[in-house]
Amino acid sequence: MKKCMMAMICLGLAAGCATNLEKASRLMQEGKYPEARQFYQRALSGEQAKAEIPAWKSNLHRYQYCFSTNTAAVAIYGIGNTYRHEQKRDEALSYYLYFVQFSKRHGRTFAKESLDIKAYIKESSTNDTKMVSQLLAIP
Amino acid sequence: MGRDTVVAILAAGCLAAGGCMHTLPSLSKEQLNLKQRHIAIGVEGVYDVNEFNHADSVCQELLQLQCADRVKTTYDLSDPECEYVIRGNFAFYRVQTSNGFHRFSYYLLCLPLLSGIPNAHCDGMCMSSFEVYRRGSLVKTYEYRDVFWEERSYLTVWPLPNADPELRLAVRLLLRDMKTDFFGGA
Repeated sequence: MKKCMMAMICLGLAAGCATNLEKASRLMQEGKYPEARQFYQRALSGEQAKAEIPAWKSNLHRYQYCFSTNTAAVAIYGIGNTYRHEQKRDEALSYYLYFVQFSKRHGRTFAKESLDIKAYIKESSTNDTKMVSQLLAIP
Repeated sequence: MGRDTVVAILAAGCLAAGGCMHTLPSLSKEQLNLKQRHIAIGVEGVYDVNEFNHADSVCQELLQLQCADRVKTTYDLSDPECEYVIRGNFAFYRVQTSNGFHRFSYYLLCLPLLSGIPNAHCDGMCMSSFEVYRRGSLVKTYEYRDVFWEERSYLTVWPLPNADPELRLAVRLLLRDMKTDFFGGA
């Protein structure tokens, strides 16, 4: 009985300590897209707030922006995916473009995501040639 | 001298010493006096230096000002549903400094600090530029630069200047100028 209680408490704590991204990806797997989007938005807002003002780094003797580019990029891509699953093409493409710009700005590699985005553009047969060329030019 | 007069003088002193200043004017909705038009405005993106998109804040502000029937985020500068599409970017910085006044104040039971005399100073700038597109072609660009400073004390209750209100102020100024340039001042 005691062991069972301990396991329950540990599970509860683990669920409570899950990051917004983990919660969002779990909800995505369950097909709860609006709820997943909320957690992705929360993760993105957190990083955006951290990125507003650079903080003083005494060991580096300079000011530096302290936020996780990876968390922010995953959140942006995740929001795009939630819209994609909800068949909201415009919103999905909007966030994919945001994701591409953000990743390029921070020098992230995103080969897997780029293939996925390209496939989505081709299947959604968008008429906007500029958008397509911009997104298809991704490495 | 009555008690009320002393309080009034102290309050005026605190306001004078612990005030804040912006180089751009603040505009209320009434001052803007916008008419709701039967148009749709799109926001492609308003990016900061770290490439975070603040389009949602801009859309909220445009909706709050009730300048158009529909405001939406779009990826397409030539979105056929939108009369005008806005794209922009902005940079915001703020530097805070404080003096040793609070240390001196400890020896006097913190009374000097509780009088509201400023012990911290912040200054910064928000520079934003916007491009306005109509059916995919650039029609005009706008740039706003707000330099601000503020003296703060332990009694300063309002928050420090931050990026979101500064961006919203720039959006109001953008609308004021768009009203003159595109809507014939009405």
